[in-house]
Amino acid sequence: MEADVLTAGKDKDIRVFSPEKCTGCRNCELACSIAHFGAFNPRRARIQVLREGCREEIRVCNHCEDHPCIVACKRGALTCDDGEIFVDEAACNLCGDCIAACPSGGIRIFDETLLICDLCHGDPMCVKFCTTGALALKAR
Amino acid sequence: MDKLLWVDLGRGSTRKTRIPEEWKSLYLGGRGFTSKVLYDLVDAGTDPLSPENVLTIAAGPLDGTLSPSSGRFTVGCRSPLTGLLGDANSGGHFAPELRYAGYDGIIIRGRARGPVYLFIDDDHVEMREASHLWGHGVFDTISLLEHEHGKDIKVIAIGQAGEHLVPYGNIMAAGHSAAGRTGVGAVMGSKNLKAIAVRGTGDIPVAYDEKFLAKVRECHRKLMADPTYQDFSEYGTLILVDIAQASGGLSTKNGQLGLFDDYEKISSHVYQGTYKLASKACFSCILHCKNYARVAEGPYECENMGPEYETMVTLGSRVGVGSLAAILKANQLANDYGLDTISAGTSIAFLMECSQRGLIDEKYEWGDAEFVLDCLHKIAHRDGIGEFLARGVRAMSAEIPGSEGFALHVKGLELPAFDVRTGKGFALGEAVASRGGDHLRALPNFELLSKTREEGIRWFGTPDCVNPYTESGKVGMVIWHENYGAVCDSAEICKYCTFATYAVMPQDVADLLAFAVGRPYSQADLLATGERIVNIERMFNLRCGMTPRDDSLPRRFLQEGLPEGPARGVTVDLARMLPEYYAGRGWTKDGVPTRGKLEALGIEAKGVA
Repeated sequence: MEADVLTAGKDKDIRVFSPEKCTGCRNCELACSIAHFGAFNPRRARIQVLREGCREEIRVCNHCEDHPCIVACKRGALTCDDGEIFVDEAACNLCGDCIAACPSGGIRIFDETLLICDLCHGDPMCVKFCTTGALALKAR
Repeated sequence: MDKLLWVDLGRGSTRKTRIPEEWKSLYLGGRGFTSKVLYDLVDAGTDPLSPENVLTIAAGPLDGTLSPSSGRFTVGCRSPLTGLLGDANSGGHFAPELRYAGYDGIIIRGRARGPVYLFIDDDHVEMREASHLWGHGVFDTISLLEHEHGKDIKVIAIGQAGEHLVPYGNIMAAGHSAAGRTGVGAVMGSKNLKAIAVRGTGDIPVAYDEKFLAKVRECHRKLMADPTYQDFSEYGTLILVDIAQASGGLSTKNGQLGLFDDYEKISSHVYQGTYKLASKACFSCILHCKNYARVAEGPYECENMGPEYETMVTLGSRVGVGSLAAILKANQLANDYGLDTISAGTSIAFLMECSQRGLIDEKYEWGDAEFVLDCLHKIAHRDGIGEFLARGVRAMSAEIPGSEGFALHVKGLELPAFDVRTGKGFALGEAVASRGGDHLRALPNFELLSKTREEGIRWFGTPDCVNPYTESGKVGMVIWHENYGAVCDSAEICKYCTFATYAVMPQDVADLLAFAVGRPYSQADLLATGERIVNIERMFNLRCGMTPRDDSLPRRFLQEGLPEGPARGVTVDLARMLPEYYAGRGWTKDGVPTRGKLEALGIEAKGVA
């Protein structure tokens, strides 16, 4: 099965997801939350693994070329630099317009914080702790 | 995290307390907690199915973190099947959620007036009416609760077996992970408690992030480099079906044989090539030994996780069934009804052998898959022959003269799949295990994994420990596994990552704990904690009326040699190992912990004559 391309940072390697390799261990969620919040809590993770039957799906920012989230934000709270989405927390009022605009279900709000993957600035922790290769970095 | 939730179902009240410091320092969590709770709160007069019995559930101090394979929990109670320590352990995703909600443990007493379930939504805890769930299987129960509260809850539930107080009814986590043994589901049913649903949204911080994550990575590397890792990650526990057949110990026709004629039909490779769809993992586990399978059509159409090796044997070769599809269906039914597959399959196998030997009038044929499936339904509903089967092997045997020798139980708990004539360390472990006929207390896989004599000397000081067919050199190895196993069950790390692979060792667990909790742990401290847990469980059982005479095995394993295969003619000389084991434990020659031993371990002797 061909891997789905989920992430395409401009000048970076891309993150690919191979659902048939995903076992649903949720280590990616845990790695994400400790990296960004200093605690384990899957609900704070910017990547979510959802199981339906024996198939896992992930919800994470797709890093689209045309950034519908940025386009949707009326307050200019989202910006893109080198493929990464940055959130200006002072400007963001958690209105949810970006969530509605996101085609991959990759944006969520938890605990009054907008959660969007920032690819850990090029060295994503979710990939690092994925031992099955379901999440992997690939040269563009 | 760190809170203990007390629930009184009779009064309809709940309260929260801090976990006592002493429990954490001396008993760690998980199984250590549940056994300590039983020792402190349950006396010899407590009827297991009465409101006075305690049902306690505990997570471990690493649950919810990235620590490898650390998403497990233990359930404890006085067992309705054995009358002794009831204890069952499960993976899945329930325990991490419980900790995210803020709780390390739950202690449940009393009996609700009608069916209820417990809903834990972070701080908010309530008992809710469950008449609409009662009578449903585990799968429907979980679906109904998810419909009510959202897909992000995690559920443990009983099926019809627990409701009907079948003494080997289990508690299922998420419909595929079982807290399987000793009838914990019947105790839950006796309390009119159908399910526990939890949503936890809190954080679990660790003391030293960087060190903790580096240690996790190191454990992952070690695991993936271990030769056993490949087999388990690919085939799951089903690889053991092949290992058992090769060693002549694939329990067949209630253990009369160790080689199964239809082995090829139930081997891991056939499963892999026919019904398996994917490998799946419990929380935070990189071993992913769970298999997901589908039988797409025909009379055995089904889709579920599993079965595990234990089920493949006890509902397969042990009852003579060589239809893989039928075993998958049986596994699904047992999971839905909430039945322990080991006890159910072994009870059916016992009945079949009674029939074979003419000890009962009815005729039951080995390999009759339809009969086996029908029995599971009838056991769970205590209907017809199910009423008799639901009593378990020990009670059934008491009514059939001449059947004791092949009643496969120890202390009332039906024996697992592995034929202990082909592993003498396992034989000793199952004879002395604190929850009766159980392989997971000791699980001395070391003797089965083709280790070299040099490795035997290096690990346990004797080359004999690597030869499964000999009694010599087993005691030290078994004691180490029991002590470390109690640590794993209390930290709630899966034993398949600690000693099916021998990758994550006591020092690794000590480091993980130290970096998570922020205080030093040594390997020696941990193994002493394991020894303490083994001893407090022994004391609980002695209080409940167990005698060291109960440290035994069915006569089949002591006196009947297997008729063919690599283990042909081998029997277990338990009398040779037991005195050495008691001495190695620092117990009296009658198998009772001495006052000095208890004092050294910080256990207060109570309730034992």
